[in-house]
This record gives sequence, structure tokens and C-alpha cells, in this order.
Amino acid sequence: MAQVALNKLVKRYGAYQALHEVDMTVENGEFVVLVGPSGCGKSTLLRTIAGLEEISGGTISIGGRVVNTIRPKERDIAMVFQSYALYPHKTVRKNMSFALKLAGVAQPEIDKAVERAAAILGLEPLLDRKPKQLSGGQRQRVAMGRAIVRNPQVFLFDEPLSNLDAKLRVQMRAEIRELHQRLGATTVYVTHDQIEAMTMADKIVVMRDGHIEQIGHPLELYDRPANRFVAGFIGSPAMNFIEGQVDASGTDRFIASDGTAIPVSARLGILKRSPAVLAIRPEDLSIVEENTPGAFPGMVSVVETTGPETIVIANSCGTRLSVVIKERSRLKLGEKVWLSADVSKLHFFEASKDGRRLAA
Amino acid sequence: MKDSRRTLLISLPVAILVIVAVFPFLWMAVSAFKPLSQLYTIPPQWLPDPPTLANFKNVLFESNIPRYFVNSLIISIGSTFLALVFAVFAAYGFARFDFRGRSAALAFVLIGQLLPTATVIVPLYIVLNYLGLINTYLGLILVYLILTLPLSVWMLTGYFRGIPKELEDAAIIDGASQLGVLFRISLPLVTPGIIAVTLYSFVATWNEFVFALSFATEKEMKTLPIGLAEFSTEFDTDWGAVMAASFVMTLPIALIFLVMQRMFVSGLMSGATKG
Ligand SMILES: Nc1ncnc2c1ncn2[C@@H]1O[C@H](COP(=O)(O)OP(=O)(O)O)[C@@H](O)[C@H]1O
Ligand SMILES: [Mg+2]
Repeated sequence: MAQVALNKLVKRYGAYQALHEVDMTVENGEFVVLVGPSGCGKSTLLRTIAGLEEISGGTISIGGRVVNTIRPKERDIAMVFQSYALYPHKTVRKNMSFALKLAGVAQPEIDKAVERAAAILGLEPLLDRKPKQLSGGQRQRVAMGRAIVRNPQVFLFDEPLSNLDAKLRVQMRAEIRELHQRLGATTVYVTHDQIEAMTMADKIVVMRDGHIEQIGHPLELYDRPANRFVAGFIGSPAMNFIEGQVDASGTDRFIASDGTAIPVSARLGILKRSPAVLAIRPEDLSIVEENTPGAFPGMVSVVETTGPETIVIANSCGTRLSVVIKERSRLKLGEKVWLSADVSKLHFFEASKDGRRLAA
Repeated sequence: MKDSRRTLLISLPVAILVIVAVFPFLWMAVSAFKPLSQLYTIPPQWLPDPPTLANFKNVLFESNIPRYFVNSLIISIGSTFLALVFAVFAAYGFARFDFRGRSAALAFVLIGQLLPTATVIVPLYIVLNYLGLINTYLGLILVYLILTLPLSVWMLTGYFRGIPKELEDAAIIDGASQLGVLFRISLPLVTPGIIAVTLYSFVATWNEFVFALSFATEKEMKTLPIGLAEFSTEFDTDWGAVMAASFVMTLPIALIFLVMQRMFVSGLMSGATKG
């Protein structure tokens, strides 16, 4: 049993508060991804769990035991660093056996554990090399090997893939997931890449400025973001935001700031008159014929194709809207198009700074 | 054509530099083997003919040089070793721990270095005398510590700062204590710094003159640089003996450089992190 629970966790660096009363639980065996923009406190949070940073308030418990003042080595955790942090003067074998050796494990057992970990990660041919003789991907694997030899209760990863090229990153993503399924250890994985978060997580924790913005299953965050920040952070291309207000005349329309009318569901009567933000995912917008009911106009400003789909950016509703379409497009820059939104998939947020989700 | 001109452009200044640097050393080595009659000839005689070992015999068996050599060895090795021990701990502290007054302390370390030697001789003499350390090995070793420690601390602090923090964090996660991190991870990685400090400290103390002259006045305690000066009297200088003694004095330094050069492993840090 190794549940990780944070309770009103606070971390200050002098006058600067890096973490604000963070509450979060990672269930036994769960793979939780912490995601957020750079500088939001992800590494700080991970390092407090590891015991590398003293905390300024609240509690951290691992496996039901409060570990606030317990040293890292007694927390039964392993950590993989962004820079890999391999010991440059030690061979791969020595890198991997260092922790066991310090723990006083007998040499034959160390050898066995290292061989086993090396086999899992395909590191056998590299065991006698020094880190500088390895490629980036191999170093990354050694860093993981060093973590798994110890068979810890909790794995902590701090952006382990951010130094790899795109292709290797996709491959390692799958490998880390597979490894997790095989070992079943509780895992906290930090990344700034929302795609990594979406593809890997059992549960995503979105952070901003030392606060947790939302915790949930990846699709839950995608389908019902709790606020405008999460809505904009999760998903690529990013969600479209249109400022305006629900029409007061009872015709179930959202009037954008430039006067464009977009049909919305009748249930939104309660939102009438107050300023709000209408949010639409790019794939919930489509390009339609001129006379389609509810269609609103836009002007094409960018057309990007990725192969399987095309991203059209159109000036409309006083902003720039991204539209993802599956078919190839013959649209020209400056061309007038008609857009239509899927009424069942609209999101509304408060126009205030917090931008909380409005019931809809 | 252009290439060879460029080669010349580089190699000529290098050659001049080498000649200027090496000539006195060679002249000393050659002169050490000359009989007295050939030392003053005009034009100068380049090679001794025939070479003689008389100067070395004189220096090694009829002078106090062997005793001074041993004194110098004890004092230089002692103070270099102590400087290393203190510098490692001080530098590691300065590099890794954030404590109140750190930058002030680090700046203060260098201030000692800025004081002219002449101003500290008298105070040092009084202190050493009070402690009964005049004319003792320990006395000079401690004085030399004052001489070499500041720069040693500064040099090593730079080397320790060059070690990525994440490397030490990894070792702590692996279960190392703070001292374990220092000795098992950081210290091996600053080997080039340790070598640099060793060389600097040994050479500086081996050649030191003024403190040795002031604090080691008895024959049993004198060091080599003082011993060299003994060959000059008011009326005469035995240049052959000076050259031979200088030759003997240079040997340990040359030896240290030869041995340590091999240990100057370049790129020791590479491979630790992504780059
Ligand atoms: N040792 C420290 N001293 C002072 N401020 C720090 C320290 N470490 C991190 N911070 C600050 O805390 C905030 C969060 O940093 P970090 O956790 O590294 O962000 P992330 O990993 O999400 O990019 C940043 O604003 C950073 O400047
Ligand atoms: Mg970070």
C-alpha cells in the first residue's frame, strides 16, 4: 500500500510562495500526471514529496505515514530527473547499483537486481559503459533503470522526456506506461506537455502559479474543464474563446462582442444578460454552406495542414477561431467562409479573471 | 601556401615563448655540470667539456642542502595536505549551502590574500613566538596555510559550483548522507580542481622565501630557497653550487607536474546530464 496524500501543502522560498495549500491524493498503483506551464511549481511539488525540499506547512503522507520530516532515503521513493543526473564517473552498472550498495544489500543480490532491471530496459550491452558513451535515449533509460532496481513504493518523474527528440519521446511514453503496468508502483509524473499528460495519465492534475486548478481523468478534463485556464491548456490546437453574452431577447443566441450571433442551447436562459465567454473546441466547429441555419461568417487567415487533418484559422466573432477539419481544403487566404458550432458541445465560462465554468 | 604561412604565424610566437621560458632552465641544468673555470668564459661556452659532477658532490655531501630539502618536503607536503582538507570542506560549504553572510565570508577569505606580505610578518612573528612555534615545522606549515588557503578555497568553490545540483539530489534520493554525497559523488568530480590546488599550493610553498627567512632561522629548520641563498656570501657566490642546488630543487616540481598532468582528465563531467 503506497498512497501518496498531500494535505494543505505549502512551500515558501523566502517571501515567495511556490505552493498554495495543495491538496491531492495519488491512489496506490495510480499513474498521476502533474501538468502546467513552466514555473507553476511542478518540480517544487515533486521535490517536496521526495524530501529534497523542506515544506513550510501542511502534511505529506506516503503509505499512510506522515513523512514531513523524514529523510528522502527513508521514504521508499525513486526519482528520475529531467537532466537524468547520472553519476558521470561511474559505469552504468555502478550507477544502477549505487542505492542498493548504500543500503547495504549483499553483492550477489545487487548483481541480480541490476541484471533484472537491465533486462527490462534492454540495457545489458551497456552495463560497463560510462554515461558519456551513451546517447540521450540510452541515458534516459539508465536513469529509469537506476530508479527501478530499488523496487520503490513510489516513482517520481520530473519531465523525463523533455530532452529527447519527438519520435523517441513518443516511444518512451509508451514504454513508461508499459513499465508502470508491469511494476504497478504508485507514480507521480511531471510534464509541461499536455499531450504527454493526456496520453499517459490515469489522473491529471493541472497546476498554475502554485495552485491546483483541476484534478480528473484526462477525458473529464477535456470534456468538462473547470475553468478557462484548464480549457485553454488542455487540447491542441487550443480551445477557442469568444467574449460576449447570451441574448436577452429569448432567442437562444450568444452575441459575440462584434455582434455576431451564435445559436446556443435553450437551457442557457439563466445566463442571460451577464457577460460570459463561449468556448468551442476547434474540432467542434465546422465549415458549412452559406445558407446553413445558424451559420456565422469568418474570413480565412491561415490554413495549415498536418496530413490527416487541416487547421483553418478564421477571423470571426472579434477574434481568431481555429477550426479542425478532416477533409483536404481548397480554401484561399482572405476567402469568406461560414462556420457552424456543435450546439451540444459548447462550454461557457465567467468573464471574470478566474473564468470559472458556468453550469450548462 | 596560405596554410604554411598560417602555421608559421602560430608557431613562431610559440617558439619564442618556449625559448624564453625554457632557456633559463636549460642554462641552469647545463651550468650545473660545468667546472668553475667554464662558468665565466666569454664568449659563453654552451656545453660543459668535460661535464663534471663536482658541483653535485659539493651540494649533496658537503652542504646542508639535503637537510633543507627534507625540511622543504615536510613543510610543503604538510601545508598542501592541510590546505586541501580545509579547502575541500570550506569550498563545498560555500558552493552548496545557503547561509547567512555567505558572500561576505567568501569575500573576506580573499582579503587576507590582499595584505602585503611585509605587513603580516611582524604580527605573525608575535603570534608564532607566543605559541612557541618559531623554528618548528608546524609553525611554517600554519603560516603557509594562510598563504595558500584563500585562493585554494576560491578555486575549489568554482569547481564545486560546476557540479549540477540534480546530481547531488540523485545521490541523496539514492540514500547517501551529506558527507556521502561529498566523498562519493562531488569530490571525484572535482579531481581536476584538487590537482590544480595541489600544484598551486605545493609550488607556492616550495618556493616561498620571506616567511621562511623570518620564521625558520635555525639550521635544522631552514628550507631550500634559504639554503640557496647561503651559497652567496658577502664576497663571493659559488655559482656552480647554486646551479646544482637549483637543479635539485626543481626536480620535485617537475616530477609532480609530470605525474599530475596525466590525471588532468578533461571532460570529467560530460555525460552527467543531457548535454
Ligand atoms: N530554490 C528556489 N529558490 C527560490 N525560488 C525557487 C526555488 N526553486 C524554485 N523556485 C521558484 O518556484 C517556482 C516554481 O518552480 P518550479 O517548481 O521549478 O516550476 P516548474 O517545475 O513547474 O517549472 C518558480 O517561480 C521558481 O522561480
Ligand atoms: Mg520543473
